[in-house]
Amino acid sequence: MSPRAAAWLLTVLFAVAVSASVFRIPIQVSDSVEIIETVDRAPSVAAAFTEGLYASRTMLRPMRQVGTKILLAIAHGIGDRFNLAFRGFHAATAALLIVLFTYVARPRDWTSVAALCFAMLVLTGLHTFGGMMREAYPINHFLLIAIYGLAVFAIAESKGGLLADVAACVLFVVASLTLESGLVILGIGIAACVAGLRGISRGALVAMALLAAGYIVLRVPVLHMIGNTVGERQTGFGTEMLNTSQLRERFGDTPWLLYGYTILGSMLTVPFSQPIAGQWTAFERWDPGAPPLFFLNDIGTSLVVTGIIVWYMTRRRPPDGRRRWRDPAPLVMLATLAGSAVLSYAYAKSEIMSAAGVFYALVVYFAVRELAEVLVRLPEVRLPQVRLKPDTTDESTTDESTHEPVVSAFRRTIVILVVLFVTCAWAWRAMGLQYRLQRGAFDARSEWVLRLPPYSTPPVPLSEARLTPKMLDEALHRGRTNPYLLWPPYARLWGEN
Amino acid sequence: MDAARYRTLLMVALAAPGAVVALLTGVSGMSALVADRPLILAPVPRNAAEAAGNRDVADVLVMSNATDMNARAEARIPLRLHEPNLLTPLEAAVISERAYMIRLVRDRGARLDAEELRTLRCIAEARKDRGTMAYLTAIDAGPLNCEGVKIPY
Repeated sequence: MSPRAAAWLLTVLFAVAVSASVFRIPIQVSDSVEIIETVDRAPSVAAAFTEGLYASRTMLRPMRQVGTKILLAIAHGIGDRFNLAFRGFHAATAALLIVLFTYVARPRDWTSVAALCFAMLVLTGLHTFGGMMREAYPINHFLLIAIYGLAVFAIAESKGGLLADVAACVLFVVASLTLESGLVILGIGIAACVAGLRGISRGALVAMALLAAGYIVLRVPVLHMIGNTVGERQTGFGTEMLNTSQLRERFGDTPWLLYGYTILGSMLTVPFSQPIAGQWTAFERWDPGAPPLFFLNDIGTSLVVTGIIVWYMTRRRPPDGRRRWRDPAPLVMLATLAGSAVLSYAYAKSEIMSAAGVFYALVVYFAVRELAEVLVRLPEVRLPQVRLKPDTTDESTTDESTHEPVVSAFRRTIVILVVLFVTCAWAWRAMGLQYRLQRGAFDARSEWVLRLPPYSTPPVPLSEARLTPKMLDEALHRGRTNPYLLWPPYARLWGEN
Repeated sequence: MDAARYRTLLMVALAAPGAVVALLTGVSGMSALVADRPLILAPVPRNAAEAAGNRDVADVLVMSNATDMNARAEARIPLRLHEPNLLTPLEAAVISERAYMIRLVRDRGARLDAEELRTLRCIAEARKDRGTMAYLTAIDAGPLNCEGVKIPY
């Protein structure tokens, strides 16, 4: 088997693993039923788009309505199979993200394949990745932004041309109308260009900048939209999670303090796995009876990998001596990290940083590949052999033949054990994703009982809900799973109760 | 350790955990796609009592259409009990420490006579769970005698 075939086999396995678990999660009641029922009444895709333009005063996301309308048309076309359409789409996009990741990584030799194995663990083990997979609204737009980001990066790596320029501009428009975070696509394009990639021409970048200006015109003077303000949604501050009224009370007069904290916290969450949604959960409560192994593993593994990235980015690349941080992948990661963090100024959410998490894993791939090559060349340090009766007149005592490579063997063994320890710790985090997705399926399925009458007021009055009964039936009769039946410490080790 | 062996072992250390995770979860995923049954990390309740004990409202709802909601069955509730116990769905619901589960099990056909109510109240008292105690006390706030009632642990 060639290295390239092995890399794609690995990619397919990861893609199947993630997308199959994503597919088992039923459509959620919260954030999904209302929009599905509303959009279903829109007469066309254009009408759904127009509806999306005026759906909120702070959020301009009409592509959410467009995507929902298209998937509803597909669902109706296949016999009202809503789960198949919506969850199938989510699963397919999850697989696409993983395939695109390998595509831009371009593994060619066995060292690359080994680095890819590790990078896949980082990609799927990061908490920002779980957020993209576990929930949908009913389409996970954070996942779409990550896909658009990778696609634009792949275009920037290509030979370019008119088609590439048009594709990049279209992706930018679609991304920015899907989610505010979609604006980072422009940052990705610019960062790739600064790093030396010429797949997207300067003219196309200017066009994207003009489109960004058009986006602002559409938001402010045309639609009279405003940005998020303090107390729009709950967010973490220090070790606390503050609700909307607490936020208004505490930061009503000093919003810049919350904004600055949230931006900084969002930037830290990817490389250090803390804070989570602005909240330093690892330091929230210390229970001597239950040492926080989950936090130790998450923070510890992130620190190691971030350390490797820092080492890699400060190295000089062989051809021209330029620092690695100016290479395309690291520069794009920094742009995505900073851009996404700034766009989440009003409230922190792991999902907003998910595109940055994907590029972080990509840089991990390049960094680990280089580190592996350095470690393979670990020099043999030879120690002089100890003699019982040294003869100082004998010059042969300094001869190479009297030295044993004992230190080398020891150092190499240590290196192998350390590498194995770190990869195993990341493997545990990656397995945690599977656990969380099963929990997601369980929670989403339970919602179909607890969030509907007689136990709760439904999101859409039952008299107006045309699709809810069918979706309820589908949710109850598929995706059976109950993580509470597992050994309880599993949950704690993966950060769940 | 010679250079070739070191290189091989280093690559194995770097790649093996990822490859194992890919293989385990990938095969499990294929099983999930084909048969809606993942091979790992996705256990399912075997009966209504087990579903009720493990907060599985969806399975209680589905199972109640084809099962006797008053029958005892062996239930594993790892979060609450050290070992499997023979329980009715109502007893399991109290052990789950979720009042909504008691309501659901009753709504789906479980009978709550005086003796069963006494047992449930004793279990709730033993577990010191305020939510279930409040729910059951609202039904009967009379004095409670737990003599002879077996509390599952």
